[in-house]
Amino acid sequence: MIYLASDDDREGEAISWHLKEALSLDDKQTRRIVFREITKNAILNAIKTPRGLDLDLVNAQQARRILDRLVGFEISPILWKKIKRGLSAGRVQSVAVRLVVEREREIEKFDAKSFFKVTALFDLEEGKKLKAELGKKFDTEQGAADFLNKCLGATYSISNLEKKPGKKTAAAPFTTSTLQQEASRKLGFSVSQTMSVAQKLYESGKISYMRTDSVNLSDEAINGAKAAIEQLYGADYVHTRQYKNKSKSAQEAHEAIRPTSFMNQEAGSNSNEQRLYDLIWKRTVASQMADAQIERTIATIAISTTPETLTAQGEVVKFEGFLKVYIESTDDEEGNGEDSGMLPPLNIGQLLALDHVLAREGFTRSAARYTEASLVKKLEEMGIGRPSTYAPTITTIQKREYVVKESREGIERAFTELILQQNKISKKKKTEMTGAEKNKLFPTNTAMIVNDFLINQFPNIIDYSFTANVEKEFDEIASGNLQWDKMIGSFYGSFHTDVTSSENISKVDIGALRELGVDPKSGKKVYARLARFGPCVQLGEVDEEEKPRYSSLRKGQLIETITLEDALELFKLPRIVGTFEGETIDANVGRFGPYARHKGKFYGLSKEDDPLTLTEERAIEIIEKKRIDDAGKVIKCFDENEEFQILKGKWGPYLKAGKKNVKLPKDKEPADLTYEECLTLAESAPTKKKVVRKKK
Amino acid sequence: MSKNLVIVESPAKAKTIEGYLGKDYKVVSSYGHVRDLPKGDMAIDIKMVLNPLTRYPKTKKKSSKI
Repeated sequence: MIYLASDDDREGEAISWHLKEALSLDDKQTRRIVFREITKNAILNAIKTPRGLDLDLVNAQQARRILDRLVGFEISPILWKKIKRGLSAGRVQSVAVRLVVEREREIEKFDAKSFFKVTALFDLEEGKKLKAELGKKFDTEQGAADFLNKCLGATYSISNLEKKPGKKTAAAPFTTSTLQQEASRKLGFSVSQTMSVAQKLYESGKISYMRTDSVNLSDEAINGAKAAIEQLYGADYVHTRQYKNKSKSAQEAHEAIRPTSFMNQEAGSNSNEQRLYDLIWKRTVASQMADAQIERTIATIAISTTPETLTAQGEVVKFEGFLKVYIESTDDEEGNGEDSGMLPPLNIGQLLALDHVLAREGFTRSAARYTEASLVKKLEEMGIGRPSTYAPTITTIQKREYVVKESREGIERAFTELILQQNKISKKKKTEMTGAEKNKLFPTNTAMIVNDFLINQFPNIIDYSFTANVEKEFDEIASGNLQWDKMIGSFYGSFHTDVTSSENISKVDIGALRELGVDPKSGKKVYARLARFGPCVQLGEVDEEEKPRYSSLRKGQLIETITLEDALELFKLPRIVGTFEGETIDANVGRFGPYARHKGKFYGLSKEDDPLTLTEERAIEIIEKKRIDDAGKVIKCFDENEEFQILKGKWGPYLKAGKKNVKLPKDKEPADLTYEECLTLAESAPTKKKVVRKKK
Repeated sequence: MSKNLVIVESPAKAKTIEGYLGKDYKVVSSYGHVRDLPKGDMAIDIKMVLNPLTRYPKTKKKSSKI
């Protein structure tokens, strides 16, 4: 008997079907078996209960594959013709890029408004402090100042104390997308890293299948979690339950991602596997634990000189419940954990000694740029993509250079503080850093141009609800309610009409100039544009006798938003720094960052050296240092053949034979090797290994 | 010779499963998809929309001769 045992989803079903077809397996001799986890019980059970191939699942996979191929193959050539060679479009990929582009524009347009938030600090007995805040915020400094003025000479007292019971409930067990989000927040994993680590855990039998949008747990799993909780924390901590699936299509998979045995608190063969397993174990166990019981205390503080009141809030955990094991992280960067502690004992009527009242200027914040994980969350919320496609989509948009994942330094921003202390009001100007980003997704210039083109030419393909609907139709094919060829046929009809009509539109003027202003020195106009070699600024007109000057944009600069000031700064490069050994040294910024160039050789500049201010003296120093470093790298040269060199590399000495790098035998001193020996080494060295293509 | 053959898509998965099954089972891996739309041209006859997946990608020929 032959058992086809690929993964229990559409991809897996398709693999099994192809195997059966390709190997011409006999129906009578062939069984399809599926299981959600690779444990002995699950496998034996699966073999006991085989089924036939589910052609609906196979068709759903084929339909996706074909539709994606149709879209890619018909749109990409149009992008080449109308925009630039080498570009690509993809059904889900282009929609994901659209989200990133729109978010970037939203942030760019956002106008931060300033406001003033008032907090007060009181001194209690035994050195304890009480922090309170005013419920409303002031739009102007004047408003805040007026409030502080009113507080001059005031006394403060507790006018009301209120206790409210509250509870917190554990989050549902992991789906693919929530696992990706939490692993990103808690472990700093990229989305694709999470999936490859999870796959290893799954394949070694430690966790259930990692591509799922279901939060269900099997009865055995719930019982397993219950037993573990009773044993580790006591019966009080148990509260078993089934969570509701948010996604209606959660039929592609049947269970949440969970440990295969709750008795294993640790699993995994390396630190990343162990950390991810730990996360999965805790999340699943916590989901079957009791609510945390909280008591929230709100103290209202009256001010003798004004009817406005301050409030102080505190929280006491009466019963930890699931909090003992697991707390879900949030994307909100500003932690508001600071005032969640317990309030000191207070009585109504108690007078409070004021330390200070502070009115601090704050600013409204735009929507945050996406991280890989928050983009996955967004895609899921919009119904675009499925557990098997999130990670590949995120990888593709970066590989195709539509989106870059980057950290950027923030800029300094001034803000004002008004302080009332010892019955005097003083004003301070301070600065803070703002806009710093860590591992966020930024669109490239190309992404913006391609996105706008697609929105104009293929509004459907890049439409959010249309894309979500296509996903639903795949689900319908998978459940046998829609014929796949009909679905593709109706999709293709309108799609191909759009493709045909786009033949007639004129080439997108990607060189479209965005006028930035006039260079005060030369009186010439300055533009930003996308040139063949990438985004750049241009000084002067193309049709004038004197050719315009070009300078590439730096990392992070966008054609849409670059200012005249920034552009003029760019024209200072390339710049002649001086001469050395009879030839000029110039400094510029290239694809790999700032550099100095001398006799056709490039010398990368470190952070301390700015190409705009680099001196001749310093440039020569850099060149000479590099020469010494390079000389130290060479262990031996050969007169017979200058393409052969023995070099000192990061991982020890090696032979460079033309374009080939060859390992050296360990039993010989590298410097003693003869040319003949090297020749033999080079010939016998294996050529590059072929990389095995991974399953998507 | 084993009486039964189990085919999965990944060697790591094959190894784990083989550990659970007795001598009567041999577990082998196909290394992912064995067939796919051919690269390079459209490969889809849209008028037919039928059985487009008939050619083997070159790199996978080996793994389909089990």
